[in-house]
Amino acid sequence: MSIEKMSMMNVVGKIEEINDVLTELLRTGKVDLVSAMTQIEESHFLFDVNDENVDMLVDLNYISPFEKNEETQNLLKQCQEISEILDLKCDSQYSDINLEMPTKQELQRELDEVHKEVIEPHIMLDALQKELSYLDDFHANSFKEMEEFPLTIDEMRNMEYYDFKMGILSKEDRLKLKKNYENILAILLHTGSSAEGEVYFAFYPKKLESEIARVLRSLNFKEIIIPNSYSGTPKQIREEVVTKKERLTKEIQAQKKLIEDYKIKYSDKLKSMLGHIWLMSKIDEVKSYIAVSSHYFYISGWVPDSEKEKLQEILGTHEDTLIVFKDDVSLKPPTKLNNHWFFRPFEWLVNLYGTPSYNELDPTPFVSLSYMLLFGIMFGDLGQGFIFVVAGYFASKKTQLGGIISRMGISSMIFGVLYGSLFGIETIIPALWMRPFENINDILMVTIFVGIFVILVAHVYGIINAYKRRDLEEGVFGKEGVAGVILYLAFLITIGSTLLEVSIIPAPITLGVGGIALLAIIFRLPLTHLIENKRPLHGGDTTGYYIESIFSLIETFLSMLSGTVSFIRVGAFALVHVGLFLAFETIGHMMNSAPGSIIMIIIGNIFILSLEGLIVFIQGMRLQYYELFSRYYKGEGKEFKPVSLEK
Amino acid sequence: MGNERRFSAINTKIRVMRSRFLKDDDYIALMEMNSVEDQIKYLREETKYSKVLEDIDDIDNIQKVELQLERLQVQQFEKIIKYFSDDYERYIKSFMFRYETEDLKLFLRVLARGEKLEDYGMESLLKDKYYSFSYEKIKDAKSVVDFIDKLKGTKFYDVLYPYRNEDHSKLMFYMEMNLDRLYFNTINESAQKLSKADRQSFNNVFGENIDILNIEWIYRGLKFYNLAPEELINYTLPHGLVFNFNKLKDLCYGDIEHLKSVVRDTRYKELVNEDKDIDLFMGIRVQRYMYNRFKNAFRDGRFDISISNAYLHLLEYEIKDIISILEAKKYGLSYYETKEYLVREIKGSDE
Repeated sequence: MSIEKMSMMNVVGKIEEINDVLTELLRTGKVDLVSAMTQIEESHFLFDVNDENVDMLVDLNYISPFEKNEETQNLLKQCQEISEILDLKCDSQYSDINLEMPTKQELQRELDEVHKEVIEPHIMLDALQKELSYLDDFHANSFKEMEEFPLTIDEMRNMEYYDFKMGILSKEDRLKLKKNYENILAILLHTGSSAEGEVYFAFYPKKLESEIARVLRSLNFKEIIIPNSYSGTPKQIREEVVTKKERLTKEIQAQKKLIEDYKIKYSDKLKSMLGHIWLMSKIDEVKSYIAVSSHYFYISGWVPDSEKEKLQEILGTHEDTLIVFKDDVSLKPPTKLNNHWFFRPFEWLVNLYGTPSYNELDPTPFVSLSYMLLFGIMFGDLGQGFIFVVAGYFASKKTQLGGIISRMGISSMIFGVLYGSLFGIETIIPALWMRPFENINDILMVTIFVGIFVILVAHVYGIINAYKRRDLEEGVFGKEGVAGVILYLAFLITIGSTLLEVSIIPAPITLGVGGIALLAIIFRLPLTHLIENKRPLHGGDTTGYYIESIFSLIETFLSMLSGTVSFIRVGAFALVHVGLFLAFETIGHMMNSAPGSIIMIIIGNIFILSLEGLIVFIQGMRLQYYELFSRYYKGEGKEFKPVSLEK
Repeated sequence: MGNERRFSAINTKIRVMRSRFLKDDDYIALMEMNSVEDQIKYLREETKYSKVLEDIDDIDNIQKVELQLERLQVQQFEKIIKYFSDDYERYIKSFMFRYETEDLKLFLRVLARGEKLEDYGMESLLKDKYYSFSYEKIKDAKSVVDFIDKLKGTKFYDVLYPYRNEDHSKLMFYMEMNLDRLYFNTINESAQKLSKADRQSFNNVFGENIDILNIEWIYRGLKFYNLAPEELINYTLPHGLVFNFNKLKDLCYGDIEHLKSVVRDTRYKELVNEDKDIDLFMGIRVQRYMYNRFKNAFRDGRFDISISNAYLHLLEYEIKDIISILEAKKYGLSYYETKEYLVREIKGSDE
């Protein structure tokens, strides 16, 4: 149920129809394309021949891959550029693309038209803004300290025996100037400050111009050129700058308004164009999978069985299009997981380890249930669980992890009721089952039994997977197969009856069955070969085989023991959870005041939720991946990735 | 962090690194060889430079050898940086700024002569991450103006920008003066963030260095360049130890004899020692003064930044001397002439 059946779909159609067919494929978003060239070359591309389609078969001899085309990319870039100028947000508004596709030439022409109109105010705006910031930088405050200066700039420019310069000096150079001012044959005045530093005005006799220039240069004097358009006194210039700034701001507003108008005018048009271009570029992308001959195109791709009819219907509307589905192909199909919505977030956890193979059992439901069970036992609390549910709900809009967290929270709440724990406090609600901290041995025992149960289920999965792979050696005689399970049970019963001093099954029987299972594991390869009638029995190196087999048996025993006992940790975490809170509660009591206690309880809860929550989350993952997956799961599949219009 | 903890590891490490410096015997052996080729072979076989010189094919290309030796110095920089963090790391890194500056000067010289950069096959010395500009981008500069434009956004831009349209013959002078000033200001700034003890130790050495560089500058300015005293004083570097601005001003507005007599009364009197030609040997004497200064740091062996500081500079002087010896051989200088141009004084030779 949880891994969808796949079929290989081969489509042959007239080359004129290729864009329509691809658009529809993209819209359905249900086809995982594979290279048609490879399919044809490896003779997987098969269809029944009759009178009508014999041409298609003949053309198969003249196929070539689709040529790549840069045009669409350029169009896309141009269109995005315009959208940016107009500050349009065009993300995924491709829903209303109609099938009347304009040609690239048409699109290019339209884009050029819009571009021509829009670019002008854009450039203007840019220039105006630059000018404004220039004014801000240099002139706004450069003359501030010179307000009272009586001469106009023009008068100073026309002086016969004197000249002047304006410029910026750094702090270090100002200091030098100050200390040596008596030797400098110019008047230097501080006139204001600009974005780059303090502005100085130098006034000196024309005769000394070159000397002064050299001295100023040695002071790193950064000259400010006063534009010729300024002619008044410093005060007038300042006023002029202010009015100019006002004018510029107004002009900028006007240009912005213009762009805003264009935005309204072209918004819809651009959006639809962008949609078309986006579709085109997607089609171009997909074309790398397609083979063409002079008259026909050839497409191959995986389709979920449930979508077959729908695709047949959609593609069938095109004339002369041949659609063939095949279930039985030598290629390994991709895996599409399809789980109940409640289990779906855990697919993320499974895919993190590896996507299941097509013919493997999807472990998601088992992972979901066992993960929630283990998390609940370790982190049982009604209040904290509720916070996880809420946090998970909000996070689920952004990440799959959110779904997992809220489900963890649900399980935590259930165990919270069983343990009688609300935000760590155990005095408010009654325990329906038991309080872990008061029944330490019990909780540890219970978790071992939970572990045994989970391991046994994992073995069942493993056996089913081996059966699906038709793997006799692993499935029946292997240490994760039937023989392994029997040995594990015998092992448990022997230990269990010794510890509990009760006889569940008579010891000789247990030991006998266990012994047979053990022998089966040692002789698994020869046994398999005997049944399958293969020779040589040991596949070559006999001694080597038995040495390896016996050592792996020792490892099997160890891992049975350690794997089972390691579930004690689950119980230990349930205790840690209570103990950790106890510590905070004790500190709270020591504070001897109600607000103090409350604050400590809140801090304790935050600490437990974040840090212990994380640790238990990871511990759960470890148990899944290490203790369980290694027993039954390979995860060597390929994910089903349909082509679609999404990004 | 206490200075004992901060410096115990690195100072031990540096002592080991220092033990691999060339010995006097090595210098004598190098100077006594008959050809540059033999000298390079010696460096390649007998010294710590063997690894960086391994891949050089044309065995008499001094320029390439120099680049490789400097590479080794950069490698050692990187080793030392690993021992520091935060402000100390930034301080050591500010020495790298020096190489950036030197690279830029090299570019500028080529461009100012109106030649093309690609003819020179420029190779970057530092790893990309240590450059504040893009070396690859700058390599394509076609002219001085283009070059300066490409530095936009770096510290260098503001310093070089005012001179971009300067006459090429004077341009180098202005730009080099300003780049050097930027370099000294940068290390001084980063050093002022160190702990008090380290700051003091830095200020002493740095102050002396600035003093002698200023003396050298004013001496040459008075003697060779046709500069006004106002200009002379403006190009001096700040933060000298003995010579503050007013004392320097006094030197700038006086004459050569005045300068000599003032300097003779200070710890820098060796600079104006008239036993040998002052004009010719002043540059070497400046370096020799600093060389001895840094050698003393190892004798004092304090748990502060002085040892790392000293090591880096001593390594630089070693490389300078090796290159001097190679160049001297190339131009056929005698053993005794060569010795005169080394920063270190070689003892135990056959005088």
